[in-house]
Amino acid sequence: MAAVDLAQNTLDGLMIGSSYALLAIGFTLIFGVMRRLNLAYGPTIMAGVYLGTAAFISFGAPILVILAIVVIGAAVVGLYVERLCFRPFGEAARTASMVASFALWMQIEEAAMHLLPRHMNPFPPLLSAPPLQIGPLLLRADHLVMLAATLLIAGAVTYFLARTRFGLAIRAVIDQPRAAAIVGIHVQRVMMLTFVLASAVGGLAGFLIAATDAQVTAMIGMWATTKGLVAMMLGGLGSVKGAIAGGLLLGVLEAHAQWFLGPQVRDMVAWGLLFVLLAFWPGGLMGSKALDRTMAVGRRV
Amino acid sequence: MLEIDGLKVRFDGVEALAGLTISIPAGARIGVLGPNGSGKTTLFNAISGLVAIAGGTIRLDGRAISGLAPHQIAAAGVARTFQSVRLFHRLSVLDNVLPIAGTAAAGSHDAREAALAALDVAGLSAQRDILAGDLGFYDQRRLEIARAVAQRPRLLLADEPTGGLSQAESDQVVALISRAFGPDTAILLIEHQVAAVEALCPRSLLLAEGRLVADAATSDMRRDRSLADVYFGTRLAH
Amino acid sequence: MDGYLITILSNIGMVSFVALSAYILLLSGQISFGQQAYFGIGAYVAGIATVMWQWPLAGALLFGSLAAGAAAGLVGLATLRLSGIYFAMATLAFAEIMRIAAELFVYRRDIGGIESGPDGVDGFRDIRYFFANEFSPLETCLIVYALLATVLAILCIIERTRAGRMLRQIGEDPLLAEVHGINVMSVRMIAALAAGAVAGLGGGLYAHLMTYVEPKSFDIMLGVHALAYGLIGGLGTAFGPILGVLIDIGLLESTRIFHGYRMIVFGGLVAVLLIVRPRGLLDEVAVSRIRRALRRRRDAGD
Repeated sequence: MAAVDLAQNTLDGLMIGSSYALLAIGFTLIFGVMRRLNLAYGPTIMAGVYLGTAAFISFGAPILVILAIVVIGAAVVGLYVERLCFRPFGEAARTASMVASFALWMQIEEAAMHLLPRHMNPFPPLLSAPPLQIGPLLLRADHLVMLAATLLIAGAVTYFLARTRFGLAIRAVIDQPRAAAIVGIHVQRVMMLTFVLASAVGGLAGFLIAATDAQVTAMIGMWATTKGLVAMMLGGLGSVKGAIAGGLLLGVLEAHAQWFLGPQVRDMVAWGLLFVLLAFWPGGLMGSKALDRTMAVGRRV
Repeated sequence: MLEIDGLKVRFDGVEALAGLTISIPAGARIGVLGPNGSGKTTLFNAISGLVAIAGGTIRLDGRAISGLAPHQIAAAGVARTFQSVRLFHRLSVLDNVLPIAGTAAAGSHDAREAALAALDVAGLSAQRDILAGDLGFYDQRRLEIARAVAQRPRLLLADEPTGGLSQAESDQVVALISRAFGPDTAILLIEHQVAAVEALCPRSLLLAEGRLVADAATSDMRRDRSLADVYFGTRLAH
Repeated sequence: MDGYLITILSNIGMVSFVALSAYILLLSGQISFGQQAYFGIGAYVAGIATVMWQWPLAGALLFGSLAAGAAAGLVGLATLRLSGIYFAMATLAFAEIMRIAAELFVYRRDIGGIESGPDGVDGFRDIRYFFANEFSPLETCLIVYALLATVLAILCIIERTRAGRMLRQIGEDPLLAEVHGINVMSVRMIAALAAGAVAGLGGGLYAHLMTYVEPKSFDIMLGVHALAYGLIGGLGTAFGPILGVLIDIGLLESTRIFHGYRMIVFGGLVAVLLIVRPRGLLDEVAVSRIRRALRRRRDAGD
């Protein structure tokens, strides 16, 4: 029944991959606008999820209230990260920005551990419906909700970027930050709001992931940062479409690798693919030498 | 000494340089004139290997340098200054000059002597230990030239070395370029102030839309109506 | 000296090697998230050399360092033309591959009646060279600092040569450096080799001092910390990264002032510090001022 296994793995991979895609969308928005890496992205999500979990454990808050707490919590913590790690730094201090976001990663994670010291905490499940049977394949209902939510959010973000005034401003800042400032776009405000938006999308991703697992572990911050980064890089950096493709690709790849090779090798395969793509596919990526040079010339001469 | 033959550069299908053929004798001092977007800086970038060329060849002392890496072209004897001053702001004035001073084979002592001599020529000896980023703009312009001096080039590509300077400072910089390089060094000078070009370069090239439209004595070119036409963007007389 | 102090001092020493390794690449303008990989390679190779092959310590450390340098060279061939986030991610990918490879790596043999060697996720235990040869903790600590001082001295000397200035020029503006005749790719390659070897030396020391090394010892946390130390302490001199390590491990961890809240305090402090000094405490401006002040004092003394 190898064909069934393949199909089932692919299906499972797509479902998990949809959560990676959501993480990658948030990462891509931040990277696009800031041109800098936000290592505290995963911990931001962790903060939101932990606040929601604490509300669940302490008051047994209903799931929609928890959803609101997670999303708003992530957005507020995202704002904090933006204030401390990104707003004060110009383009010239990209490394400082990134290292500052790492410092806040450590800080947020320790704060979260004070909130909920146990390694593993319960989270309300999304649905308790039984899995759907499609021919020989099984499909978890909550996974289906996650996929649907991903597509919905991706569609909403795409529409927002393409059709609204603020979306247009974001794209302008991504393409031509200096020109955007000249035509009167308040670049700093756009950056801040993008950050909040991306963190909220991340919070939503965190909520969906925690709810389908019905638990949260202390690893969620690190997990979200690395998975989101890898998915974003696989997608080629810079577009919502690429982020979705990267996320789904990573999910499917991991599902197959896990089935055939076990969980350790699964992670190795994902990193290996990323390494090979970066190292041996220079034409498709921005890292190519000639392009680097002309870009630098265009920018500076 | 520098032979450019049929040089073409394309950006996204647009021809930035459309087949330039230029011959520069050793030690010549030549102005490069033309309106914005006429391809002056692109010509410099092509010679120094910063942009890929789409056709033609560039030879320095008979040796093809087109297609070499920028550092190989520099080692072959091409020095360069930039339109917007480009320095290592986080390094001291001396350290800006030191790595390129003398030849690669020269000992560290010789290199240091060459670097100090270059700073001396540019009048920057007293500032040698402060960071380049802390220099005033006029001094930064002079440091760029000192760096080129230390390189002892066969060819200097000077891209608007007086940009952003007062009239008096401009005159000083032109005088510095004139005296700092020996008769072995050819100079190509991009300038918007025709007077500055005239002071340094008896001969000038006029570029428009990636083509060479005139190659004549600078004084003649100044009087020539067509120069004004090119500068003010009126159609070229055919 | 009491044992706790020696342990802290040894920790500072060992982590300093990785911080210096990241610093060398930072000078060349590259951000690596993966220097922990070479630390791990050095630790495993040196450990295998003393335990499995019964090599003397010096040979084992040297071999571990060379192996790490060689690995860094190979990775450099594939990654050095990448820049910015692409380079950072490629180095991280390599380091994670190496970490997982260590989780899968089993090389067990009977050495003197004891089953020894790397054992997958459980790591490589009983690297007992110092114990077997009756080194005191103080002596091992001195070995760490003697080697660290040597590496620091070499780095300081190189920084004062033309090559050192080239490295800084490349780090600030690779294109301008290239136009001035510096072969950016080959200088970066040499920097990558050296950075790998320095991290590998630190790894070899770590394995022998701790008597074990496990895949977790060189995860992404080590790499990003190493990067952060340079930026906290300052990129103006090789003493910068050491200062960064001293502040974090020496001041905050060892004194336990903020026990349980260390990261909350430290994380906030670092973020604020970087706003004020984006290139660290001992940045180029500070180092230049200090040098000039020293020179003035010396000249006045003459």
